[in-house]
Amino acid sequence: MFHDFFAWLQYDLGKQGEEGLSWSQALNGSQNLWNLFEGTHVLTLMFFAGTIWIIDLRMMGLAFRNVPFSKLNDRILPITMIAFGVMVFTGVVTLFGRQPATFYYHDMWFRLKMIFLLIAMANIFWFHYKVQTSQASWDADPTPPRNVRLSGAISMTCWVLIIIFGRFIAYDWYKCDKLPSDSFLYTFQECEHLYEGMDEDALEEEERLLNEDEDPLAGGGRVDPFAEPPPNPFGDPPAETTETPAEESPPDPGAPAETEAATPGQGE
Amino acid sequence: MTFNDLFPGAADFVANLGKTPPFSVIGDLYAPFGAIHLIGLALLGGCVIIMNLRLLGAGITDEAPSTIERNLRLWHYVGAAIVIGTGLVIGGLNAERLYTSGAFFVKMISMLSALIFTFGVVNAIAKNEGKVSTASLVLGAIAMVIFMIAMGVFSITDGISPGTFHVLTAGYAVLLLFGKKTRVLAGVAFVVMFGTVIEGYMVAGLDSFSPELQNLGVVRSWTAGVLLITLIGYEIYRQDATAGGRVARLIAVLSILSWVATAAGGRWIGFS
Repeated sequence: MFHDFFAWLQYDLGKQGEEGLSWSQALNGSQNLWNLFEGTHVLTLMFFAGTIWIIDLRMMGLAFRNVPFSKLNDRILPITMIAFGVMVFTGVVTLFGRQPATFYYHDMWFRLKMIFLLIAMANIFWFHYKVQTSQASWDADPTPPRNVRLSGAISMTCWVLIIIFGRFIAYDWYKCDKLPSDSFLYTFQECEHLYEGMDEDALEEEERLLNEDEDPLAGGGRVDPFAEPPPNPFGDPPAETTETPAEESPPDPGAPAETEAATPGQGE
Repeated sequence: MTFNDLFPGAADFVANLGKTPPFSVIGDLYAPFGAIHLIGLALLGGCVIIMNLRLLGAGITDEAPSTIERNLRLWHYVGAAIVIGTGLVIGGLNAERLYTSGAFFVKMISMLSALIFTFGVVNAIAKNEGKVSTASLVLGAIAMVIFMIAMGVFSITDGISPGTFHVLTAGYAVLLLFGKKTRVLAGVAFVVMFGTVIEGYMVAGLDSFSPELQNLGVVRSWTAGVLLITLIGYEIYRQDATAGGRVARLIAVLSILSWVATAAGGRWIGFS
């Protein structure tokens, strides 16, 4: 759906001249700038997720049972919201500077992360505009009513999953080139559009990025430069069993034989 | 500085750790354990921030520090158990790599200070409604020295020294949260610091690896660090006593920053 927009962000925005780099490519290649943004995004988890979980635990009656919810909420929520703003900002920049092209957009884990982010947002709206209207009646209750507990549980679950999915983005278990074209995940990740809109230079750049050796000074997407990617705890996807039509194949020269994306690995 | 530098004789043992039980059995679960490690970090971090902000006279000021400590005690332990438990697993599965990692060394040293602060000092101060006993003072001093060593190694190790930016950022964030007299100045200082990061890259080019850019980064970090220490020191000294005295507030700031340094060191394992 938004493939063309992401491709434009990655390859065209800020590009000057035929040989110039787009802002995304330049950010990816920066010595430390991408790392600082991504690191800030992860570290702000302590300020954001940690504080919102304390509120969620109170909503579920599992912490601060003798402290009115309003006292906790009024004091902690501003910190949570500021931290969320920082996470959104750094997350957008991190997304923008990631290479190869449309890495995140066609990634299963990123899509799941965004889906649960929307669910978390919906839960927040439901709580504030529906559940919280009766706050005066349950504010001091050690165990709040069921709908409050449910909202807290949904919130906590969503943010736990968002963190997990965000962490899994670094792994290439279900990348498009590893999936059968008739599989659900292939469709879910819109893999059929992966190479659309890319000119020859962009395609060559993408293949180069997928196959290049690790640059020890480059930032942008290198999350854990271990020698071997870790095994897929969910089991590897089945190999392609049907003959793929020519127009659906990744372009020559050859599909990336081994996806050497920057992924953590076990020390063997 | 790495653990291999300190204990080179253990290199063979470390190299074989991933192949021995239980690590050889749970090898396929590296990724989930890594993700849960972050969850433990977030939970523990949230508890640490809320507890220490109370000692700084911010956050949940309607409740006594002992009340905050009692309510967060279980979740402190849960968060620490998750972080340490999963950390042992993912560490064991990548032992050889981490043994030669400067960032991992920083992470472990920072974590030592952070654990002492959180479970040996801050909890005692909070139970005592902000009063600092002699034992807390001694332990706090030890933890502070360890933290300074960790930050020193962090700032001079090639490849990871930019990671001190995260600790500085957290310091300014804490100052914005608890500061009264210096809040605006802290905000301006941080914007300027962050602005020079962007400005330097814009002038030199985002994809520049120029020595001038690196030198600018070093100067900026030291300037920001000295300014941060000055502002925090002034804020701690000049603030009216809220929950605790000056020593308690200093310990609270260092407790937060030691966990941030632990997390930053952990993140920069992957970047180095």
